[in-house]
Amino acid sequence: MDKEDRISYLPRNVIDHIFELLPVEDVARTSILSTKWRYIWAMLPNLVLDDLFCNKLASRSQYVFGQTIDKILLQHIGDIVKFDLDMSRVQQSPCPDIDRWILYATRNGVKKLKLNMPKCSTYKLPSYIFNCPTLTKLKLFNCATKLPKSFRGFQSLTTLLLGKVTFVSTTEVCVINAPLLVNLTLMDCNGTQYFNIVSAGLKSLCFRDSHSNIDLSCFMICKKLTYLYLEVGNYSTPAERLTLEKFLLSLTTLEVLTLCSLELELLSAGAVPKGLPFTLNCLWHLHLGVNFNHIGQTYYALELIKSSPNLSKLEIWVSDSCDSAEVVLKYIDAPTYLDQPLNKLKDVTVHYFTGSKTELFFIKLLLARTPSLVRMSIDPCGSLEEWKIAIELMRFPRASPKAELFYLTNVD
Amino acid sequence: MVKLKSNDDKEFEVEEAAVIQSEMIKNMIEDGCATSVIPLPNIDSKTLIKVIEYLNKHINMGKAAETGEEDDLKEFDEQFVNMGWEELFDVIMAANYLNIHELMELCCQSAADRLKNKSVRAVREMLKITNDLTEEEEQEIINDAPWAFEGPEIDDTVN
Repeated sequence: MDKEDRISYLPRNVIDHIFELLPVEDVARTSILSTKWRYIWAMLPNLVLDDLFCNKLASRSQYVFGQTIDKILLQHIGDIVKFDLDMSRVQQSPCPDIDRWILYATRNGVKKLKLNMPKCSTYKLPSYIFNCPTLTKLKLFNCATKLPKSFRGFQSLTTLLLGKVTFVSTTEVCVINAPLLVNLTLMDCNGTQYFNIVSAGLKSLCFRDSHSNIDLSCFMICKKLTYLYLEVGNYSTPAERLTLEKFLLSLTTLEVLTLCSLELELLSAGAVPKGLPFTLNCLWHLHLGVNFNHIGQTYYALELIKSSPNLSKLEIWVSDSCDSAEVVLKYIDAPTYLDQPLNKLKDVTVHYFTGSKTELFFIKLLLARTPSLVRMSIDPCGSLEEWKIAIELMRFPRASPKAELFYLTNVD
Repeated sequence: MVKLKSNDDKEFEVEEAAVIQSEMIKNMIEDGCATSVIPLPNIDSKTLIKVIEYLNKHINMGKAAETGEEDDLKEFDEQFVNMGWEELFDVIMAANYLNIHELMELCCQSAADRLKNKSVRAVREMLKITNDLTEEEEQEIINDAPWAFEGPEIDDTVN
């Protein structure tokens, strides 16, 4: 072995690993290093064509873009394990070509497929995607789909991420069977009411900015759920409130929870709750969007904190707050409210802090009841009368001798 | 404590909490195969010292986020990969063999950073690769993927 030329003798998995971290141009250029290197790039199992690359080619012409990707796939040797195509910045996308590329990937053992179409694209996914048993990770952005009637589900899929995907209406609700699914994320999707995803092994569920609701009751079989992010905001009926509450009640293994202001509003039904029907024993990280003008939300947030005995990290996103919320102030300033100390809480951050009395009293309450607090961070919304706020904050008694107060000011 | 032996017969004692970042050794311990010295025939003592230094620093990494030690670790990592190509490949080979995921990520990222945007001439020189292609073959390769060889941003310096 030529002792000097070490990289040529690294195991293939190591070379693949390094190449995966490089732009595709750099990797393709290695084919000219020497005879030994000529086909390494063509045999690379991971093909990542990122937005910079696609945009650079497409800005010359659609023809150049189409031809180049065709040629890359034609020259490829062996399986394509990972295929990423990010056209999010391409102005016009060559739709028929994309169908062909997806077909090629699905016929060559693709496991991880990521397709990012231009924003506002109406690209309709070809059915090959639903007939690809090798898929383990599928990420799709800005496209439309109609689930085929014969669709049996994704047998190997572990991760499904859909962003701005529109499901075309169907007469029946399609049940997608994905027995191995662990992570499910739906962002900004339309038509989510036309399908249900069934997977008892789900660990992470994220559902945000949706234009249509999803039936949470079908996730109650997920006994292993550890991460939940809910930001829906289309609820209205008491039945939906009950479903959401029942769902939270079923999540005994939850570790990280995010609920937004509208979820809190729904759960509290606008009233002051008297204790919650569930305890989140495993929860250690809680994110809450709170409108401090609403007594129901403010109180539900406190109830959730009280019902999470192992909470160590709390993040509050202030969605609105003003000084005139007298009713809220009256309740929150009662020192007896948090009767039990929050022994595990170490780190609190208040984002979009507006400096209102309600927020200040909320912070005062937390400082008084958190004996192990290490860090209280205040992330202000714009520039406030910092001196006044600082003077207030300094006065609040702290239960923890170690607690440090951070006021995060914007550098710009 | 777990005892490791390099291929030049030097023994090192490492805390179990540190050494289990290696999937390989973790499995050996779980299977009860780590009662005496573990010989590592692919790793020399110079490389093993570097690997142990990394393992000791990254002990209980999960807790770093809680205690605000992330910046400290980041600085350590930056210093750690400040080494020559030869040494970097030795550590990568060791991390690959011992299956230490984070160390592998760190070193591969460093290798990628050094290669990013570099010209063919610069890469050949850095990695001491001898070009044995004919001119016709080179032209063929360029014709196959012309987009990879154009652009003013390609960097011809060697580091």
